[in-house]
Amino acid sequence: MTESSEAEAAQKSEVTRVITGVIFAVLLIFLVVLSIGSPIVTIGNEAESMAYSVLVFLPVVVVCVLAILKSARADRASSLTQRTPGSLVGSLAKKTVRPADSDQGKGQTQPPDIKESARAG
Amino acid sequence: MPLSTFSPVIAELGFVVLAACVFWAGCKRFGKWPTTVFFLGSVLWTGPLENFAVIRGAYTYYGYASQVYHAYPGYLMWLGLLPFWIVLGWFVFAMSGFLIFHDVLLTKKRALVQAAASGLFAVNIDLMMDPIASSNSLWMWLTGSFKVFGVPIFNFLGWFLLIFVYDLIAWHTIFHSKPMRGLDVAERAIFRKGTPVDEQIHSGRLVFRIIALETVVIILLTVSTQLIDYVAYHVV
Repeated sequence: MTESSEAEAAQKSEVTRVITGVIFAVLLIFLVVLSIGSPIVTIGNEAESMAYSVLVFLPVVVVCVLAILKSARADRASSLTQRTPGSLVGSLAKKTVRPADSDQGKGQTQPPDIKESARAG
Repeated sequence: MPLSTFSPVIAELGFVVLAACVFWAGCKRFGKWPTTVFFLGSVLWTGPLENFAVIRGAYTYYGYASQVYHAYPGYLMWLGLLPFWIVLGWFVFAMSGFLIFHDVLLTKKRALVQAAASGLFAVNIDLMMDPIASSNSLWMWLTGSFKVFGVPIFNFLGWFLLIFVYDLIAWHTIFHSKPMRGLDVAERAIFRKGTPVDEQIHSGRLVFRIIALETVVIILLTVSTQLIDYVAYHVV
């Protein structure tokens, strides 16, 4: 898991929230704002129109909630993976074999700043 | 029912704002150029199809004409016989479905399954939206076709096909560069030179695919409407 995949997961989560927000706004415009004056009652009697509204409303809500949860979980998982001991060791190892150090003839590896590495993920 | 002059304003302005939000989300996820092409493609995809349906007399968008003053057509922005917010609406649903099913929920499934899910999702939204919109006269059904809750059945088939096919076009042409089954022979003959690099969007190929599949969808809808009406009125 790299920083770029963490950023991608975060971006995906943000975009999903915006998109589902838009879908909910469409539902709000049509079910609430435009329904003032009870045009939806033209579907049938009040009970029928209520049942119809719930039936068609539910799948949309379920899909949107699932999308939000899945993208948020992926985002969380990706940030957690970035902070596991394995990835910390990986980032430390990277730091010890930095080619710039040997090129400059320093010969010695720099002691890594663990806090910094952990923060950087 | 008396018409509220606020309804078309809410719908028109609402969809301009929502389309801007979806455009932003698309840019963030796929980049500015692919999202712009997706938007322009959706205008080219839905504009002629909707105008064709209006010309055939299936429905009209002039429910609010002359409500504010004599020559006022009911909405501010038009694309032929079609208010522009309808085109924006198609873009909103096409891009939302694409993002939700290709990018989040069904990432490991085939493009065909993702597109079908997107199409069904759009039909579901329309099942809620259409009875309200038509009873508010945002659009008015004029056709004598068999209706459920005041909405002709072929409309739902139309919604599914429009989103499903455009989703496939976008996936094969804008976000990937892949051949589409059934069109590849014609494309090989037309686009001999300048085969696109994988990363580029071939605009000529996109326009060709949109026009070709638009024709197929129009024929399919015309035939299936007759079939649905025959079954509804004579058999059931």
